[in-house]
Amino acid sequence: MNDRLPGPALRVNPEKTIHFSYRGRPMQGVAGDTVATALYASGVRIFSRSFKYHRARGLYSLDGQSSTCMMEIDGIPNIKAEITSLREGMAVRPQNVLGSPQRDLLAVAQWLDWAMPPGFYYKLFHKPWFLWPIFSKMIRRAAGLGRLNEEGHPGNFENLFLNCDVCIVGGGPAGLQAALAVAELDLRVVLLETRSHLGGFYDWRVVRSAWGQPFWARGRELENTVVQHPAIRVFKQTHLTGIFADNLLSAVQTGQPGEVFDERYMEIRAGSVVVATGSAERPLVFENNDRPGIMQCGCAHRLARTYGLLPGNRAVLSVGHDLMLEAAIDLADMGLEIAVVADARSTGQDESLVDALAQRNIPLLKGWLAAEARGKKGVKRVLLTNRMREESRLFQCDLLIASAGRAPVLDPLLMTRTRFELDRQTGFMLPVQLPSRLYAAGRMLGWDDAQAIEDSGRLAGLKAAADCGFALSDFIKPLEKSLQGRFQFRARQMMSRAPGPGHKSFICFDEDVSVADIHRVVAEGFDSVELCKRYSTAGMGPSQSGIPGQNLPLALAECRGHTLESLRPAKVRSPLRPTLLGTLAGKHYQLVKQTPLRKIQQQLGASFVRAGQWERVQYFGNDPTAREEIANVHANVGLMDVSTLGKFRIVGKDALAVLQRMYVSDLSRLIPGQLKYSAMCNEDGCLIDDGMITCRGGDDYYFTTTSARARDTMEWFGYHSRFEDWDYHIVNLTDGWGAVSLAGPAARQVLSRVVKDDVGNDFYSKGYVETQLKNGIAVRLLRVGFVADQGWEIHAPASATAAVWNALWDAGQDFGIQPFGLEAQNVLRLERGHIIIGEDTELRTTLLDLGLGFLWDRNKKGFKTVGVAALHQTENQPDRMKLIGFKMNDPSQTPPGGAIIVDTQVRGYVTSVRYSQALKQSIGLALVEAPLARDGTLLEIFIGGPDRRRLGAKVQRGPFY
Amino acid sequence: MSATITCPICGRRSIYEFRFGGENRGPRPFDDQATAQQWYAYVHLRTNAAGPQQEWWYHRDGCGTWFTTWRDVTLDCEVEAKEGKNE
Amino acid sequence: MQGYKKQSPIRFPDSPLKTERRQGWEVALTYAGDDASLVIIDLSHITKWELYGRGLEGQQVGPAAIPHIAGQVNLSAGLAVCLCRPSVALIWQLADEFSWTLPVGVKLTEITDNYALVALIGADGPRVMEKIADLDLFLPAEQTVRFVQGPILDGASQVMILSSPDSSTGLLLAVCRGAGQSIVDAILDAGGEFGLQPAGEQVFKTWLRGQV
Repeated sequence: MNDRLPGPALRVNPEKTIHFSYRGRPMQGVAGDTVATALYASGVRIFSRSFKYHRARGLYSLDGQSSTCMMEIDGIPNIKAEITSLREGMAVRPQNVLGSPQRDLLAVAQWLDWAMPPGFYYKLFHKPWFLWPIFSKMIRRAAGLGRLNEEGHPGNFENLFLNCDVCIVGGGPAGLQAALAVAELDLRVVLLETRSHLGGFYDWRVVRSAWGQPFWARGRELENTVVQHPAIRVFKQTHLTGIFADNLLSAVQTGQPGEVFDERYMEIRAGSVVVATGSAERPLVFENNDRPGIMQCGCAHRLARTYGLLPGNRAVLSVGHDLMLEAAIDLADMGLEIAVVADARSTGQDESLVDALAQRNIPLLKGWLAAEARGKKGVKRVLLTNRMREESRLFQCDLLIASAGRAPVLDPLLMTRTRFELDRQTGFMLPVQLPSRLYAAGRMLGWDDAQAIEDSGRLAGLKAAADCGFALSDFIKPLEKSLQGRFQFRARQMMSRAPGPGHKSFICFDEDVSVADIHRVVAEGFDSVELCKRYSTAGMGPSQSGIPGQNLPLALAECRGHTLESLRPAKVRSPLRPTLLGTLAGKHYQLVKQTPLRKIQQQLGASFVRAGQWERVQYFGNDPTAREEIANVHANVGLMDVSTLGKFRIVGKDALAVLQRMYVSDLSRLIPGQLKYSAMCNEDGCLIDDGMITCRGGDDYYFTTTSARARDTMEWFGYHSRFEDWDYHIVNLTDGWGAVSLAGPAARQVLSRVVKDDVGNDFYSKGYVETQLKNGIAVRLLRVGFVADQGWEIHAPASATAAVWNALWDAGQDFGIQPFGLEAQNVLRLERGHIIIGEDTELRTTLLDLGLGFLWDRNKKGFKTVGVAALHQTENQPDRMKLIGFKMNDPSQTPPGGAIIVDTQVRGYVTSVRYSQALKQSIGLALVEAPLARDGTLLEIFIGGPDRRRLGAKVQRGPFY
Repeated sequence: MSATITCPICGRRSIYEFRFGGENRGPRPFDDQATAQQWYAYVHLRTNAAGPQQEWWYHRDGCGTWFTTWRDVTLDCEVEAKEGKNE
Repeated sequence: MQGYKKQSPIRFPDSPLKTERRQGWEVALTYAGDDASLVIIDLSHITKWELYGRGLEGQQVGPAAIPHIAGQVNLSAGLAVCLCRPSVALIWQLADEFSWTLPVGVKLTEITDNYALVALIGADGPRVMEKIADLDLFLPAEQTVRFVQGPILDGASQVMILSSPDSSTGLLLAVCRGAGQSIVDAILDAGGEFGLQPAGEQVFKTWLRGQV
């Protein structure tokens, strides 16, 4: 089982066995295997059944270009087995089969393919119409490939954010040369490669290169130089998933055994980008081109050279490129019996390769290609014909290596604003105009010659480095000229298909769409590539544009008789590779802000709630209505953490000018010791923030804002002063200072026990005082009446706030001090008729609508105060909503917040409402149309529900308590 | 969005670090010198040219400065200042 | 006269081995993990100042001068002075007390408690931060110190990057105080694979002396 063909380019270690299970049975592979190659080594040939018709499918490509190898691995569905490294203990299961891939009971679908042409679900099963729900359920259950694990699946998903000067997509010879060219200049390089090794298409070739060594050795030498270079960071098993504006690239890396992550999502911000993604094999289209035993040339060659597995016993090749002739010779030398090589090209082969085939007695048919594969569960015979199908011959084989040449891997460039044109000589879509700071290099540009490929990589690297400010035209110009001179010597490619209706000549393996299907779809009128793709679903499977992406436009052109020049590649979208949602979610580190009193609150049994970026206390203990907390503030004294309040110092010659612009009140007569409550409006005169302002002396002020607006205050002030050359500075002290609210009839007594002794007679009647506690903490006291008649906010540096709390707590024990949270605060302020911005206000409620017009000093002129123009204009507008207080007629009936107020129409809504234990009433605030805003007006509040009830309430101006 | 904005102090950064401050329309008029119509135009109306415009940006997650830059709104990227237009 | 305890916003999972009472702070001097190749140290207690004044660029503040260009930093004798934006400077007293006089016309605000400040010392420090934030924390070869203002997990932060002769880098991360624990938790989680350990102030002081 561990016998592998020896060879110098082997990437597996046959000495090290890895155990796994397939369909519950124990199996073995070796270190370096992918799941697919391990299965192949164990004799598995049918890997899956196709999506619609349940046709047998085998190993076709080793680069994840199709979904023939999708399996469920360790409970995760739709994993591409051919690009997944084998790990000890993996549990592999086939999917989309009833039974086994070998004997699938759903294979009867193949006999029903006449009933399921493209778009059949739009036409059939609709009549009689009452059967459609049954049919749709059946079709839904049959559709889909893998089965989701309902419990989710564990995994460690991480993020990585990289910054670099140049990012190189593709670790083949062109990409490696580009990386070295950039790194030589000490610029930062990031290189992404989908495979688990670098070297690209050099890696499995044993013929001698222009540098003297075999290609595989040249590739590994370049790989080692790059990997060891300190300025280059290499990421293998990394697939680009998107490329976005300003060269932001997204990629997903699969973790190797031993790495801490299973998958990680990467974002790379690069100065310039070099795309060197190479070229993939263009699938040859012929009847039954999807049978197990049919594979791409590169797949066969890599099975032998990279994994040490002979891909079959007796092979037929239908190819069209010198690289494939080289593969045939090498495979023959490794022991594969080759019955015949059909080359679609009539002339143009490399003579030395033709001679080498002759020496090995391998027949070569020039101008011939495969027309049909025969055999149900695997290829047994191949019908070869010449291009016009005048002659044909049948050959026995168990392996058909079929390829129609090469096509560039364009996906990353297709996401950018690159303009493409078809190059007749190679049949490649070439990028003719790239956006700035984006370059392409290597085989994707149609180069075949290894020297040219490496030179184009170096050229792209130099151009990318030049973007970073290096003067490199002396190196760039000669290289450019030399490549231009070699342009016409690129190999010609012939794309063809043997004539025939093509009922089973598949364009898209994922969705079972054939050439005949395309003809049918075009006949129905879906004749542009985008329409055809969506109606036939060709190219919409897991491999996105991969295999069908190249052949669909060609099939369309053939069908419609268009020239090839009219071809345009279809759009591709991120992610360029199927990506787990878990990978996109990543580690998802959360930023949550805690106040300095966090630990104390936890010890007191607090329940926390998210308020913006902060976590704040909603209530203590078990009662979400906070009844005892509220009663205690009424009767004794309560203590609340209000550290999240915005706190700011503003200082400077023009500090007052700024404040006058931002606040509607006239603050020019503020004197130290005085605390003024004021409000800020937006340009529409609508209330956005309120707070307290005090003058500490001279040009030094201290002010508070609501917690929600704290973060935006610096921005708001800066925005409205950006045209002035004002001399002022704001320091955001929201985090640096903590604050507690002490409220209730015993507040003064508690406070007097903690402040230092020599405070003076009128201390407690001042609005704002700076003083010290007995234990030395410098504090600022603000006399506020938000939740109680007697109340103070005590502000202190955040590092000392816990000590302040403890001091007040200890002093308050004799007075029945208890903590209170947001819910209690909400009810207490409601009883006093105070608003909460954002709950009782909207962005369309002006200061006057809210009854706060008394804050606006009309005589203050010349400061361009924000919102004043709008206040003047809206003052007498008739149809405005007004904020009122209301009391429910039936105290036991409390409407939900947001309930609408109605008569014959909607007239307003409830903004805050609570049951007040102290008043034994249900009270609230509401916004209603002006005619209903008079004291004593009766309101109807709509409750809804099955009986569509309305509750009665009465408008009450002024505080309730 | 993956576009970048160049802060004059911090350099090129992801656009998510900034707050957009709108098209540059000059300083606010005095309250008593503008009619209601003029105020409305100042607060709510924009030129909305399909091309480069001068915009205010605030580096909210960084240095906290307000600055202007020219950006082509059709290409969604910063451009050099437009000739002749200088605020 | 300090009859009360000052608290840092950051708590590490391990307890320190040795602490010292200093101006109300309980400063952690040593931890069991002090010898790890990658360490995180709580420096939230160090004194920090914000200065404002037109024309303060270039003025001397003790051993260091305020930079002329916004976004730059000068580090001298353990005093880090940055110019955040025109007319606004920041001082971090990384080493012990120093003597200085306030330049004329400059307003001073103490902002010690505004930030949680941690030092991340070790060659893998930037690798840890790459897992958390997209800030570019690269220090070019010719530079010995660099100041970056940008977001960490959506919170505006400041990072000072210092090189050292033995090619281990130092990152000083200042994040708003409320978010300190949250961000430290993220760093500890991301740093697990590199063997990140909490360490005491003595490790930082020793490393800093190697700078200057």
